[in-house]
Amino acid sequence: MKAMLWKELRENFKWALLAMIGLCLAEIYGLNYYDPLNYNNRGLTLCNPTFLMATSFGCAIVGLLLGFLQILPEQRRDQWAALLHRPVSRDTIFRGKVVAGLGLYLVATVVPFLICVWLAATPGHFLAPFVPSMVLPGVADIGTGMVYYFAALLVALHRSSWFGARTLALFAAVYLSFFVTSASYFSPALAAAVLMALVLFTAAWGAMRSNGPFHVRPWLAKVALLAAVFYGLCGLGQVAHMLLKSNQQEDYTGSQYRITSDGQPVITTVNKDLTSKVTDLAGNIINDERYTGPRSYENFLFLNEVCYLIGDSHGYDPVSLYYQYRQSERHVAEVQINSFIPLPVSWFYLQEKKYFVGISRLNKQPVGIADTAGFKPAQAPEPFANLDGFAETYGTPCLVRNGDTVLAFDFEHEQMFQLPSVDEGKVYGAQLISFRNKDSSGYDQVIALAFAHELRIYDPKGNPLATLSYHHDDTDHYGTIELGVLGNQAGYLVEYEPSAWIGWGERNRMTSYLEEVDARGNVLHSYDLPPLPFEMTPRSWIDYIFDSTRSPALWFGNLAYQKVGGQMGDKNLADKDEAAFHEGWENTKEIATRLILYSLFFAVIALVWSRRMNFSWGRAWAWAGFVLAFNLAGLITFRLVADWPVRVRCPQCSQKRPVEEERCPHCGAGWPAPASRGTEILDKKEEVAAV
Amino acid sequence: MSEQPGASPVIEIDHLTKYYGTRKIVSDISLKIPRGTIYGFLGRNGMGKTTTIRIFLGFEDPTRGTARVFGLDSRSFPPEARARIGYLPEGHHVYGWMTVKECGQFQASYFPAWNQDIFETVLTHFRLTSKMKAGHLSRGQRAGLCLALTLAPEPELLVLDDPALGLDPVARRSLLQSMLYVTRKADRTIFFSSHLLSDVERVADRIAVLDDGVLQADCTVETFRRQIRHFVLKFDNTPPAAPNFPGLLESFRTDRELALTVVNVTPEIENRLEALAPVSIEPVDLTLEDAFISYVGERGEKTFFMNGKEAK
Repeated sequence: MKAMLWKELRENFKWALLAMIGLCLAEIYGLNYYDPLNYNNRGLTLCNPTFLMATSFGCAIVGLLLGFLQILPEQRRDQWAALLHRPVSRDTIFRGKVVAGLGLYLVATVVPFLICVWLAATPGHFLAPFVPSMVLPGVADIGTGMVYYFAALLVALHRSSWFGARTLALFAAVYLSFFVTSASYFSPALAAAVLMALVLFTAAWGAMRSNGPFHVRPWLAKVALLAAVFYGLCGLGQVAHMLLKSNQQEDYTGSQYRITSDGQPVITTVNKDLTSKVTDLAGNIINDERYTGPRSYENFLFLNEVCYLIGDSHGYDPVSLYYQYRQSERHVAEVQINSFIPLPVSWFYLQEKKYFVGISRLNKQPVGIADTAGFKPAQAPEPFANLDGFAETYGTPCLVRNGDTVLAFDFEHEQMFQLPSVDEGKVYGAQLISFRNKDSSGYDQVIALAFAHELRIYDPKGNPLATLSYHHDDTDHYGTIELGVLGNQAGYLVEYEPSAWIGWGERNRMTSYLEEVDARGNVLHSYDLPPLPFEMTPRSWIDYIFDSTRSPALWFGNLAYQKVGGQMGDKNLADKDEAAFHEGWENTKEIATRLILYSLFFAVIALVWSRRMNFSWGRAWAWAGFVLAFNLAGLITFRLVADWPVRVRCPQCSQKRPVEEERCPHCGAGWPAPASRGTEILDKKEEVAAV
Repeated sequence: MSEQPGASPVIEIDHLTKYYGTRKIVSDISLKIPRGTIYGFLGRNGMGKTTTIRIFLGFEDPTRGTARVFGLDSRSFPPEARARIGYLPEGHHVYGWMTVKECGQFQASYFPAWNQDIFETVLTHFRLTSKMKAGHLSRGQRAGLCLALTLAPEPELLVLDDPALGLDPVARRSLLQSMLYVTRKADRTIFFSSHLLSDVERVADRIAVLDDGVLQADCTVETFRRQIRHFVLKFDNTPPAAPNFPGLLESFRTDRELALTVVNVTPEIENRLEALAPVSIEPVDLTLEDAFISYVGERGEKTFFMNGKEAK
């Protein structure tokens, strides 16, 4: 293996070097890219979306290139034979190639990444602090690139009559990329990348060992190849679904509660043709130009979310609901200043360490720390004690929960004050709320804190203004408390509704309400806001096809997982189980019936097809079972992976017979010897004897 | 009665058939290569020679039939058996970025019986030096390097797939000399495919000829040459068309002559030739190359008449 390792390293080092330089330049460009006009493209240093685009695409391309370059140039058939004709097993040759390839891949991808980490971690380069967890998205991308490397090996080594079947391994890697870039957490993303890499590695190893046929591969390699092709089809399906849906107009009909500027709840409904109607809670149509006209949004009151998650989470995680591991806010959040003129120091909240760091805009060096003790010069930080959540707001004053109190940081004046300590227990949320001042010349602000059953309102300096009660069921799902300030600060509107972060099905079980409360806390009006009928967008034929051809094995497996998990005490899974088997039972039944019917149909096709191709009954049933479990993707996998017999007409009975079988399955005839031409010169017997 | 170990064939191909798609490449070949023979494997391009070699070396699976080398099934060919086989594939592939010395070191690391003297002798014969870059070598030099890499492990069986393809006569001669010099041990077997009949004639004990994937001949060189006969029949007038009989490979008619190439001539065939009433029948000796070209070339009559005069 040493010699193979040496050869592979020498042969491909130049490509790795080239890739390393290219990736390094792309990543450094991405690290420095900043577009002030593009709000969606913001992120700090190693979580900058442009940088992550460079790592995700770059690692995938480097992985693909190295994988192909290690195999394809040598695959001119005689050169490949010369490589294999050595007194070592194909496993050893494969191992040598993979160890060298992975080594070069890591050099090409890790070195540029480490340079970027060094740039991001060393003060003076970027106007952002560095926390170690910011490397996680890049690490996930490097892991994903490894999957592309193995996909390239599989594409190059797998022999298939149809080239498209070989490229499916690439789509398996694409499928993984979708998952890695959309996952909430790093660990499932990395675990998925490792698993997919193992699948593709094993499938490529099987392809290396075999001269092509499926049935001679080790059983583990067979399973891996089936999985690779299946996930390749899933990836292809996902890409196709995206493309088809992007050209399809969504028919949307939806209703929602809105509050008029005088505090009345109304229902607005937007129809397919984008016309809207406004009704009161009793269903009477309101023909008021203020609420139906083109600038109606100016006349509705927008409530501010004080607490977006109150009550029982039922297993939902607020951090993952808000930010993905690829977003910089998951690690470091930048404080927004209410001014167009930037402060000389930019402040950042470190989510894990739970304190603020101030960085000079001038020299990009850390100049200050803000923690429980207030503002102080940059030095060894003293983390907040018992801080139980991340910063609630990133405006200034910035409100941070600290145990049962809330700390307010005024970054413009570098002052910190603590809102009055209360005995009510845990603070669930805090919000800085802006509203038009009395003469409408500008905006005033109040601070609202959400406790278990009341909201407390303070002025921006921390002086109490009002206490507003509200009620909710602690055992119910997460609710959201929203607050609006009525004109002249004469009263408040408190709305309790299911959190937007929980699923539709579950949200629909919770009742919302709106209360108008005066400054002394007296409820003036109360409105029940029952769940509005959820009008499903009619499913398109694309959705119908994709829904009907899902894998029954995975779909029913998921139902079983929810059932078992729910019975073992996982509230989140229990909710899903309940949604599937109670309120969503009709839907579940319909999908289950469709899946069973479709997969049965395809399984019968597989059975008939394989028998027509002269598969033994055992093989035919095995493939039919596979198709039954994996539906249409299973049928396509069967067609692409199974050793499809070549059939020619039998000279005896003229029926098609497999060329590999010695006897015709129809008439039992063997193969005739090649016809004699009368020109043969065969003195074999005598001559061999003589030798 | 069991065979003596020494008498068992080195390569044993039994009813071997190979399809690519629905196209039959090799058709029901059976062949035994005894130990110690130099076997020429002949046939036109695309007749299945390389495929047969690739199958018995385990790089392709046969569609039907079996192939064995040293008694080992090609489908499950163990790696250690490859140390006993020297294989020189078509095209003389080398890693262009390696020097000649590195090529040797790379190859030597796999073969425990590597003989550095043989390696260097062949290199010297081809005027190669260790510092030369393999990618910069001429075609002949590259062939020499490949041969050195193939011979240095001192294999019991040498399989050469068209080793002289594309080489000039000098390089070809060098290649043959090296091959014969190094493989002069009596128990060493050489199996080589070629188009160059003069080379085959010089070194081969036996030949096998593939035509359209079917084994047409398996015999000694001498038998092959003896069995293919060429007759020139002279006539006073325009000669008649050649009679159709088994074994007729080709005929060539001119104004006064009818030339016939026939395989497996029997007294009955000779009688039929005399029945054409020629003025004379002259047997002509064929070189192996001529015999081979007639044997695998296009069958049927060819004519050549002066002044556009066509025979009636």
